[in-house]
Amino acid sequence: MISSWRQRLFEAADIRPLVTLRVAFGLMMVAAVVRSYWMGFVEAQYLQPDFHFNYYGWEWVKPLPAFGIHAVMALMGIAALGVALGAFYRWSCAVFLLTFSYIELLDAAYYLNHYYFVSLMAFTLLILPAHRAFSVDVKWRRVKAAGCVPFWMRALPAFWLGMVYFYAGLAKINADWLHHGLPLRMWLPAFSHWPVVGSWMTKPETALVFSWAGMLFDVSIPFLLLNKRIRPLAYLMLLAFHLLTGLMFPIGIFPVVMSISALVFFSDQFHARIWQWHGVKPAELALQHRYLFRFTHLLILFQLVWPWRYLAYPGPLFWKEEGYRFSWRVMLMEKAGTAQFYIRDPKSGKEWQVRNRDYLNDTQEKQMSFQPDLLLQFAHYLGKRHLLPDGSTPIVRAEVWVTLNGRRGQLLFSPHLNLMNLRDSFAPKSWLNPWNPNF
Amino acid sequence: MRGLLAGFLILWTFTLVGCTDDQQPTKSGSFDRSAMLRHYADSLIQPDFDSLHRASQQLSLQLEALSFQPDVQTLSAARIQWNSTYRLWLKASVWMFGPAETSLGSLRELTGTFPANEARIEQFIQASDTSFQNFERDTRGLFALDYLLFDRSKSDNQLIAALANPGRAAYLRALGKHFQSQVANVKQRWISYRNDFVASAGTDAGSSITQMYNAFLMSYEFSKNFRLGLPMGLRPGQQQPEPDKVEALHSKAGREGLITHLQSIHRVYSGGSGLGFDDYVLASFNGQTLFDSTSNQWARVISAMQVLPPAPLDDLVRNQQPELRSLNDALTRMTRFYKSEMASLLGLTITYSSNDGD
Repeated sequence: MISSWRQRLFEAADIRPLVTLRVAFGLMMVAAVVRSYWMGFVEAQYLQPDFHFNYYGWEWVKPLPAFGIHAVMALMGIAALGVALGAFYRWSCAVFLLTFSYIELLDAAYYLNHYYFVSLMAFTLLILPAHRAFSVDVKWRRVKAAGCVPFWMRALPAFWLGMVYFYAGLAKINADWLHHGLPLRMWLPAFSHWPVVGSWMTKPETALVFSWAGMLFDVSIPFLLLNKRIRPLAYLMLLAFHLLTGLMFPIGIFPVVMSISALVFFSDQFHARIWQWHGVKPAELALQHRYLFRFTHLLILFQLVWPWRYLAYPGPLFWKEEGYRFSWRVMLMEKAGTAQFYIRDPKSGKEWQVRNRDYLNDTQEKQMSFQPDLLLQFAHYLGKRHLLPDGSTPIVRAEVWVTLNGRRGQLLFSPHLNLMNLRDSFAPKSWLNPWNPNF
Repeated sequence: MRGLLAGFLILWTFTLVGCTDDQQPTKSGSFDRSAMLRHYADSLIQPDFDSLHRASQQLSLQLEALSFQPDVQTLSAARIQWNSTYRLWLKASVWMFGPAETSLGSLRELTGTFPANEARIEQFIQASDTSFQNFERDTRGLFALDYLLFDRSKSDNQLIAALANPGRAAYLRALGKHFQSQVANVKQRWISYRNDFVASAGTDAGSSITQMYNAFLMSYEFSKNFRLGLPMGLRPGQQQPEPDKVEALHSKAGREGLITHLQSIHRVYSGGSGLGFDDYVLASFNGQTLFDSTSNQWARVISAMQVLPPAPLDDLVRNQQPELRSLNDALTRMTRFYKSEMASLLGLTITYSSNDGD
């Protein structure tokens, strides 16, 4: 059984689905770079703020001066175009992956699951020979054309996509989502002015239907897309789902990326219609890549296990967010906080009130105000920035009220804690208050 | 298929059993956002800018009279008009979005930056420069007038005598005209903006409600951080209280100004006599307790304002009156109700810019 599976994984598969993915991904990323300038994200998120939030362990990633950031963005755009065209393909993939990940790692306040997904896809394209057909590299004879790849290579991107949906669906299996219809019950009334369906949007039942439908869609769509007969209908559902969520929520390019990436589930015949061989179809297989295959096992194992790391913490996950990121928890909760920081001189007893906006932009402030690791980082930044006249470090404390899925605000931790005495780590944050789930 | 269905039924039961909460949140009903926006536009915002506009016309006339005939009567008349204009300006300053927000800044910034830069004002007067073609917003607006009309270092007679200088008189007139034209622009722009404002009934980043909410929040935090926190020396880096950094320093109107502004903030929240944010909160999921907390906290803010000793704000700051600290604490406690809890419940984004989320 297993050996036949292994055999199947190494059977020749048409390379053209990967070509579709390569071109589509590259073009979407070119568009994403242009869009980030168009929307002013580069300026507002990376150039203006004095302070950036690190990912734990990635503190060494530092922002470049403005021209450096622009250069990185330009390189990213050029590399994305290189990916699409299949020109200097491996280099293009590597440069795109590095530049994109660099920008993402600059500030944890802007963390988005779909950015992480883009990094994963970029890495996947880097290791797959998607440039062996219909590419500039083939045309310029930098590489030999190939008509086929081992089946596992063709399947890998689809696997990632399926994993994202499935894990996003699993994350929705919780009492707030399925029993209370939260947070959709809070989000849907925003559309009560829509014609015809508007009046339904304020009903709790509608939120429950949407919640269940969303969860069922997420956990089942990977399997429905695998079934040849159901696939067209499933893809229509997928389009409708992403269209609706894209219209309702500010989720940027995510619906487009997912909708187009999902084309990898389509049959070889589908992709063959887009990319037609003129003349003789190249028949050689790309290299077998046994080591790459084994490495991919590790990557898959990591991706499957990593989202469960939250189980190693006492939780609750939504309150403490230990193990929340990099786990495909998409649009899962409505959470907001108000963080009032105080800087105190222990000798004189004098205390100052911090206005967060003096140091952070609105996105940074909003994201920080309910995420413990970011709050701690900001406290340390304040402490170091506002040394006392004798050069010693002040006490930095904060009163942080967090509301989760419409519950009244609760104190995230004691406002008397000197945050300068705490260090971030992978250990459970025992200084956080327990959470009261009652409404 | 039947197995699948059974699986989900089990799951459904599991989530029902798994719920530990016995209290059920209050129900959310429907709420007519368009009606609320209409009320804000027609009963509050536009009337506020209309009143301010009429006051600014009067102010300009009084300043002209004073500049051409400086005496005790004209000075007194100009001062009275300045005071009432300042009140109306504070009332309107809670609506700094849409027509009141330009690429050069909001109406509040363009006409009310404080403290005024007195040395630069004197330089402009010396140079007979009334063009205002610069970015020095602290040399014009209400608080430049506060300095010219009320300069606390001079007696009334000295102020009147100083206006014999044609450059000073011309600067005074120009300030009046500039203020009036800035207000007139906003009032005018609101006429065409009004329908767009009411029509944009969603809650996305660019919607009317989100813009109005953000302006409300900014305005609220401005009073807390700058009208109060700044002179009290509460901002990091300040070594002691700085009483000279109160708003309307010379006219000594800062204390009443702060109160007027906070009352205007509450009027934004309550919507005055019509549909307001408070009704919207009440109609939202689990809104009743937030509504109650906000009302209770507002009552605490009111009592903190009522016990402020009847002295100018800079004196209160100089004496480090504990009542100021109580007011500041009451306002700080209010922040989370206005900021995270209300925004979260109503699904509003605390941002001016569009941002991706997931």
